[in-house]
Amino acid sequence: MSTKKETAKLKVKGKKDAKPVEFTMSEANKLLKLPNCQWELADEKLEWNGIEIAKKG
Amino acid sequence: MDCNCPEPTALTEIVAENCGVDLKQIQRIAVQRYGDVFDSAGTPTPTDILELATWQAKKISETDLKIVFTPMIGGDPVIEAGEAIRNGGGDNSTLNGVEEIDGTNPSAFSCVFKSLPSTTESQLKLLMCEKNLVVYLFLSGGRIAVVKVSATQKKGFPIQSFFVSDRSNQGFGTKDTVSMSFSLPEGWSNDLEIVKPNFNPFTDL
Repeated sequence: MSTKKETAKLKVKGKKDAKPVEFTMSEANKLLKLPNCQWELADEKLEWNGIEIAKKG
Repeated sequence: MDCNCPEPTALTEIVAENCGVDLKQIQRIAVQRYGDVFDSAGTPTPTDILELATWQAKKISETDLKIVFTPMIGGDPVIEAGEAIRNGGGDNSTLNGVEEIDGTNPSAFSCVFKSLPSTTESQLKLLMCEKNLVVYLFLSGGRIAVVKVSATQKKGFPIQSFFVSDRSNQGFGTKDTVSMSFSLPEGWSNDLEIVKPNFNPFTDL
């Protein structure tokens, strides 16, 4: 039985017309941890707490 | 050199260009598996080689798109152009004893890293197990040398024979060195383009 891989959508900061890009949760966490990261979460159900991506609420 | 056959009806024009092109010093290398193309007009998501966001996404990728970066090169980065493959000349092996040019050897890049931690040394050596790699040359002044595919598309230079040496030690008052080398195929610089990204590739990546 295959399980669906968890993903998160991110978009480039400061670009309103940029389309969100889907990353695996592992990639998204690595990306947001980078210094001077140019990406931000574009997923209403998720939030970045400075350490990792977590589900809202 | 692949030549057209039949020959063109006339020689191809050599267009005069006003700007000289020099790599100057190669100071860092980015390495990726073969197959990816940066495309600033790509859909649905552009991957502009000039943007830090694009490089960051490739840096953390867990796919073939991943790009890894060497430490800053410690010294002696050079590319020795491949010499002509010659046959005969001044003897009976060719018509009228005229030397034949049968091709061009690959060009050879080499450089030295100084005081490299052993973890970095062993991680660099893992690249020797890869079969199809491309490199992006990070140049002095924060420029990047790439292959121009089109006005919007750029890619890395294909390489072969990637090699990282064991540590060399010269004793008192010296730094340990690890050398790195690879081959660039004939014609590697035919479509060379030097781009100036909107970020510092030495400190931001």
